[in-house]
Amino acid sequence: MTRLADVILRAAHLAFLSCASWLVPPAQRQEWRREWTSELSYARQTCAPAQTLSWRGAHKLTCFCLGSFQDAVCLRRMEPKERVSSVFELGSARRCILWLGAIVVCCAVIAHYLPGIRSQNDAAQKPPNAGVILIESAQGGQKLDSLIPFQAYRNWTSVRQQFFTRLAFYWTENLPASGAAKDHRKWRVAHASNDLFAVVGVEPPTDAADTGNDAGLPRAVLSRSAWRRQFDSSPAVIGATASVAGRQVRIVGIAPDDTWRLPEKPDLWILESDAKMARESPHASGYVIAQLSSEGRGMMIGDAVRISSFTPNGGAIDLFGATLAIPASGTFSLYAFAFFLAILAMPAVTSVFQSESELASRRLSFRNRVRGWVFLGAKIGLVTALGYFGATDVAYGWFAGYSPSAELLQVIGSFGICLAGLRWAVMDQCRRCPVCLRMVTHPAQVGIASSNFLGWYGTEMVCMGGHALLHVPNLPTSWFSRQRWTYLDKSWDFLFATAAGRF
Amino acid sequence: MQAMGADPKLSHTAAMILQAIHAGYKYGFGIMEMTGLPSGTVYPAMRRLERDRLIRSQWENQSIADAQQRPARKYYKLTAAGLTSLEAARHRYPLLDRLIPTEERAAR
Repeated sequence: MTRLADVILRAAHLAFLSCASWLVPPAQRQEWRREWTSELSYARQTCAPAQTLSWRGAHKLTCFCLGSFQDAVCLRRMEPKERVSSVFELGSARRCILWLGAIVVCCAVIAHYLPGIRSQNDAAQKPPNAGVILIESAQGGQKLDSLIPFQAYRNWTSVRQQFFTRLAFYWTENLPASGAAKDHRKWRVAHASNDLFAVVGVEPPTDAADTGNDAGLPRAVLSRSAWRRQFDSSPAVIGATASVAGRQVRIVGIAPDDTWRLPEKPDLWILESDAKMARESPHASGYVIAQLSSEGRGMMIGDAVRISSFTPNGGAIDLFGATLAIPASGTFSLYAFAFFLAILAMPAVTSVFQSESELASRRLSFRNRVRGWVFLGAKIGLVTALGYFGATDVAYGWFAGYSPSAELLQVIGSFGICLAGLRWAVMDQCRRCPVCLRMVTHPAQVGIASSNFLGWYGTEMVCMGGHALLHVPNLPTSWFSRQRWTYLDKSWDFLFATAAGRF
Repeated sequence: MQAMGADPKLSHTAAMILQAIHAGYKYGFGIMEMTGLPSGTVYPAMRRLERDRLIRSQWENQSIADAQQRPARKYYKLTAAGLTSLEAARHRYPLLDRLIPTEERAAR
């Protein structure tokens, strides 16, 4: 056999033994690998006394190495049944984390698909223009009516205004609509100025190309909720035509949810020129949306402004303007606030230092202490995540879109879940064995209520891993006020089937 | 665990291994060579015998192996229970002595 073949064979034999050792139960793995490797060395000396290995000897050694796999399988069979994975052990730390994680993931998936959460976060990322107001008529400083006659709006647009840079108008009516829509009830239809969306400051609707016979039809924008409700969120609706009260319109886009902050919440916005509105509905009354000039912004007090509009004949009309910019906080900032409140309230509902241990001579190993803290941290992390996702699921599952009530519900839900969850995390830790982190079980009442408070009276629970006993006083006294751990030594092992991993 | 010293029903393989150890073949590979059994049979059988306390194993002193520049070796010895079992097995398998003669029997 050549030297190269010998080297390759030697490496292959060691690799065989190494692979076989991984089949051996972990507790015996190193021992068996050592024995096989050692024996291989002596077997090699026997088969190749003159340092030159024959093919026959190589075959013998290979059989020896392959036999190690059979050994390993046999050893594995002989090994007593392995302990049930701690994931399946009742009260184990892994099981607890797995359950919590599963709940958090479910809540996160639900939150991902709730449209209200998305729109709320979008609104927080893109705050509405603070200079956009809804104009209402006023007299003597008091607002009268939100509805403004179209003619008044026309008069204001025909002269240069001191306090406004742009104005837009819309009015609404209920009309029967048809097309691809599923529901043929009357829709709330708004007839709006062409530049309404630009004035409001939301994303302008996607403009589908004018093609074929549809060119020249009035443009219409669907509300997002109508798009979902009537058209199952189909993208094919863009560019399609719809019939509104027998009149054909071309749908050019979907309005963002922010637009719903405009009064009346129309299902469909038909964009028309002011000239057409003047021709077809000169006596309509609707809403005027204005973009304030820098001078107009300077007059704002809070979210309102009292200004004047000027008519072509030089007269001034008192107006009241209310901002459309509803301060949306975003779900996360609301949650952060609720979480902060829950942290502040924590000391009122639980004590972090609930236990003491009699470990004067036997300290927990560093590894076990780290494991305990990591477990507590993981629980707190998952509970706080649950506080966010669970509360937003409840709030925006109940309210389909943005609503101050949804925000309130989210804050209350987050606070409640975080407070209860953090309390649970701490209390749960107090009922877990510091060594194996399993829940202590088998509560036993010990002693009887003492009339002179000198007799111990409480509940004892035991770790099924055989590591510790937990004593919880039913009647806290000055000498035994908090729960205590007593660690069990090896003499207790015979009582527990799975006593292992001690300190 | 109960020792199998009094149990006469030792398998032929186990009896051969006991006989080989008794004959002075103290190492796994040597026992394989002597008995002709493959490694996949010998080691698990020895593991069972050790579990039943018929044999016991021990690693040789590492310093001795290091001094001789070779890997340390694990050797096996019969226990008193193992010897009793072997005696019983010899009655059960009369050819065992002829297959693997021990020194004292070979000397007779």
